[in-house]
Amino acid sequence: MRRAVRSLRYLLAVGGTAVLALFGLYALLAVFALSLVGPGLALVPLALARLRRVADAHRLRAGRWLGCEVPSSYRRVEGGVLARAQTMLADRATWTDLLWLLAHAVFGTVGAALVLGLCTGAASWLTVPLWWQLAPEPPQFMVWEIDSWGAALAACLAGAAYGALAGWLLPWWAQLHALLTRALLGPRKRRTSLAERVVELTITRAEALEAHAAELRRIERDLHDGAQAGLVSVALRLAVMKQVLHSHPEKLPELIDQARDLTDQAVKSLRGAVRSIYPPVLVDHGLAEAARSLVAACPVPTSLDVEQDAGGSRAPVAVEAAAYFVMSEALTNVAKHSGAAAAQVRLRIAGNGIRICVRDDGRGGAGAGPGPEPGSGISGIRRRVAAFDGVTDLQSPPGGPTELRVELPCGS
Amino acid sequence: MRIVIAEDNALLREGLALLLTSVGHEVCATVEDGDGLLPTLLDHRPDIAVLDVRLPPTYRDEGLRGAVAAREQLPDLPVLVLSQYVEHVRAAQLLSHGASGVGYLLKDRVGRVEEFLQALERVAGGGVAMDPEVISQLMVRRTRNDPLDALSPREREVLSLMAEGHGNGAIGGLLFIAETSVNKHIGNIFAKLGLPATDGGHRRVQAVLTYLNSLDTRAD
Repeated sequence: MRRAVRSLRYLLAVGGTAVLALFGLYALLAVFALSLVGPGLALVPLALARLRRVADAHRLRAGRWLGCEVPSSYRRVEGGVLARAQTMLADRATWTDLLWLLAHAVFGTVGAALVLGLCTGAASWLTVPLWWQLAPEPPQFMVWEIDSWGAALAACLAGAAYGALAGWLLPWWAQLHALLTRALLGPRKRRTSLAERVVELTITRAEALEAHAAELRRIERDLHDGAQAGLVSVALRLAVMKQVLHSHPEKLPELIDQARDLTDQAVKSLRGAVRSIYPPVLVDHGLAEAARSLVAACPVPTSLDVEQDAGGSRAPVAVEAAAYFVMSEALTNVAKHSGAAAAQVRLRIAGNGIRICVRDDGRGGAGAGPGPEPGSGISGIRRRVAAFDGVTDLQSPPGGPTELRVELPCGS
Repeated sequence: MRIVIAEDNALLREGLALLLTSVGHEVCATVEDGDGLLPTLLDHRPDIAVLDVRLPPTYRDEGLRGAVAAREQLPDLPVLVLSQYVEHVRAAQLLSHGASGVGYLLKDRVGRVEEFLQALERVAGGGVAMDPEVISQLMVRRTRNDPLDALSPREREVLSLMAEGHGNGAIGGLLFIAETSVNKHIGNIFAKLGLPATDGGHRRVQAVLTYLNSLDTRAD
């Protein structure tokens, strides 16, 4: 029932823009025609940017319906009007956008028509017993006239059939539209040109450097706020002890206790900071063992399934550290936010890459809505994975289950 | 002395308050973020404010801006700024609002309690306290024609201590020399660097710091 109501909302929203999309198509054709004679070219980037905004809105909507993310894959657009027009027209995503607009105009409009037809049909025939006697002329269903209570009840049944049909068909139609949207608007595994690949690598490299810098900033702050502050306050305690040594010796035990606690805290925070840089368990025992210790430490009962290529060499240190970070963050999320009763981690370590899948039976909805500060949780995982040219895929429909899949290629 | 502390790190804040109380000062208020700073200072009108440069919400220079704002309304308020690391810009900003009753110390210095307490007294008395680290960075050899090369090693030491804000007597004590020799060294330094002769106190410190800063910016 909830699904039917959701599909109703989805199809109505989509239907509204689908009707507009028909006009949008004509407008775009007009712009392209104008651009052939010259001055219209200036309108191309504007029109296509508008189209991208519409497409983005539908990526979001379809993503919400499907419970996954539908990312866009536009090339970077910059420079003057001509340069932008050129980049956009050369981008394959632009042409699939147009194809989508056409499909959306058709399927969206039909969807909205289905909603209106089925719902008004259901509503009018279900209510027949309430009003058929008041009608000036007997209402007609198909071929028979409603002129008796029996016929009215039969009409009511017909209304129920309409309702059932709506409840069955509308979610399917919404699913169809959303899948179509994802197929056309989502990034495809395609053979990318060398130039695109270079652009992509440049971006991920910049992201890697940025991730690196963010990591250094985090470590610096950890050290300052934790260990350094702790040690300075120990020094302060020692100075105070010297002050009270003769005047108030009775205060000494408390101060000594405080200093000892502060030292413990400082050591602990130092250990934490060092660990976060390169977890010692990775150094000593490798990723599989590190995953075991993570799973064992997770407060939610979690099963672990590790597959490791026999005799496979170890992945580069940075990739292992990233994989460890991904599992650690994912399990933290499971423990903190999912409300799950059980979770499952699958880890596959092969020569050409590391694959991770973390699944829980919690309430879902992870990564939806504006996340907390960047660098935390899911966005932190995405950034760190993207830095290694890896893939992050999060499926977390409201109500769960949540599944995070990460692939980290190892340089080969 | 009545003191207001602004420091976001709870460990340091409590440690400072404990230390200052134990040596007989009164900590009349502690502040954790930049927003509460100015109202608290105006409210309590302390004898000196000890401020962290970076405070929430943005961890940029709330503490310093608070200090500058407070000194506009309470011109004589001595301010001792604590910083995580040496930032010349910050030190220069602080001095540009008049070099009486200002101090700029690294946080680590707080752990060297005697030095810290002396600096606190000096700033509260209208003097200057610059962290030795700041001064030593200003004193490094920059160019081939560095005017500081003309100074003898002893004169460089005296110049550093002067720039940190120590008075002649204290400089003599720290270097184990008589105050008259200190006076003689200072005369030589001023002559060699071409600085105008000024009377003692913070105006002299300001002249020295301005000079050192100008060397530094020229080198950049």
